[in-house]
Amino acid sequence: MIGFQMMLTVYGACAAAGIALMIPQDATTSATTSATNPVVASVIPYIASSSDGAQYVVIRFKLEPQWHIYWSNAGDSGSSPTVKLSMPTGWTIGQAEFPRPQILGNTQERNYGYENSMDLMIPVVAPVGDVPASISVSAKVDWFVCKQACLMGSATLTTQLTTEPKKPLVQLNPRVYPSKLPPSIRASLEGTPTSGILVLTGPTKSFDAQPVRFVPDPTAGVQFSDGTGPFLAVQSGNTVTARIPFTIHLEDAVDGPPRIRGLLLTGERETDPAYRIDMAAPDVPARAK
Amino acid sequence: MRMTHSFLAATIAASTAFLFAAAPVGDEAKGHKHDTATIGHAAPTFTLTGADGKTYNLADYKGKTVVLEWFCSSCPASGSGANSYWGSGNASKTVAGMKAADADAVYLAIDSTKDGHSGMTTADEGKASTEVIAKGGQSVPVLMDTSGKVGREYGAKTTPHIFIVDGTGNVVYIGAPMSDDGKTSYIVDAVTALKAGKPVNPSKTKNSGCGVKYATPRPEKAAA
Repeated sequence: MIGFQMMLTVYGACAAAGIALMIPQDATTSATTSATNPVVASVIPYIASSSDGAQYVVIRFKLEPQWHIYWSNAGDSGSSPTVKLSMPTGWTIGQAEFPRPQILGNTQERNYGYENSMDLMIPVVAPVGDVPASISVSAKVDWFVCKQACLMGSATLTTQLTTEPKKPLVQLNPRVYPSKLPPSIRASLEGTPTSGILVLTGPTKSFDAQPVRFVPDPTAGVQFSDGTGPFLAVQSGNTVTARIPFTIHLEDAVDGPPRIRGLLLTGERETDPAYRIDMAAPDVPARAK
Repeated sequence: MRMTHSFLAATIAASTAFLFAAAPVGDEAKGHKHDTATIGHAAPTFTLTGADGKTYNLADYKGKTVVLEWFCSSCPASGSGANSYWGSGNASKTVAGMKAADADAVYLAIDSTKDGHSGMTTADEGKASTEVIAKGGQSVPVLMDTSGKVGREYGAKTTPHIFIVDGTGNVVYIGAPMSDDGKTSYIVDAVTALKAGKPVNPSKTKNSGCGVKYATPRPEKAAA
């Protein structure tokens, strides 16, 4: 049995020059450090709370130097980590929230992901009424990690999480989590039902840092021009604007009505603000199957 | 982390005015030429030598549906390990499903891995690839594209990455072999549709996996 204050730690895939071995781990695996284990996945042993009262179960990934895992849109290659979280009856589980990704690779082969460490935030809502001071959770975690070669990793994490007292997450890396656009920055769509342009614009002073880039994370059925991005915004006078052409392919929208999604990144640092864009494709509700 | 921000995703109304007209610039400006395989357009032709020593020419399969899978024996998403596309048995089931849908359909694996990747020569890679696929019980040739020329022409980015060419030689599908949950084989669905004379839906899906380990960098794109 894992104690409340003990971070449950498991080790994932083993790597040896070009040979990929996937070793699923379970909660009883002892914690050891080895250069052949590039990823350590764990559950932060408490429900993390934000200042606005939102609560999260946090999956922490620690990586060996030079290895990286991926954002929800991996880019030209790679694959995003996945978590299947199980909680006691009454708790509701939201969609995992990724921190601002790093832009990896070069101008020809682009990826979005994370080096060193990353905390994946899974929003949860407690049931109405009294909640135990600790609850049992389990998480099936899968990841894809690359350096020169790539490895898969998998872990089943089971532990007790404290729900009280409430405390904020202490990150290993001070990555910012995307927030909603401030009122001074405007997002709009122009074009036809089958193609258009995402326009992101605002006064230069609205952007805390430069450059300003849009990185796409569209649903199926949306294709940005050269979908990998990133797309660089242009400063003209006192205004910064990014215009990103896209096309809509309803026949490919296997996950539901297509949505124009992505992040507006300001600056280069992982602590610089990032804003989430999530818009319904033009006229899609009326035309969606 | 900025805990002061709401973590809720921002949904933005699409009715805002359209006021500005700047363009993307620099290496992020995008060209519009079809410099790689494109849905509805002719598939790039190729002649490659298989790991079996035979010559494979795409033109020889005119009139048949051809499934091209970019493959790498050391990639855990493609050919290495029990959870890979081939190691899991998913690829073998796909090939069997494809043959059941259309006995004349052709499945070819293309290996654009550079010579020396992971310490393996092209000959090593060809042998390893053939062994991985043979374990699946299917007869699928592995075509060696060590220079990466064919992979670049198609725009293959990952292993696996699937391109389906119809009997007229046009590209009709680009993307992943199957859905993330493994319940839908896009390949079998496409071959079934083509056999029935129907359009392929979806024609494009998000691929994932290891980046293809090309021998040379991708050439710069033409300016818009």
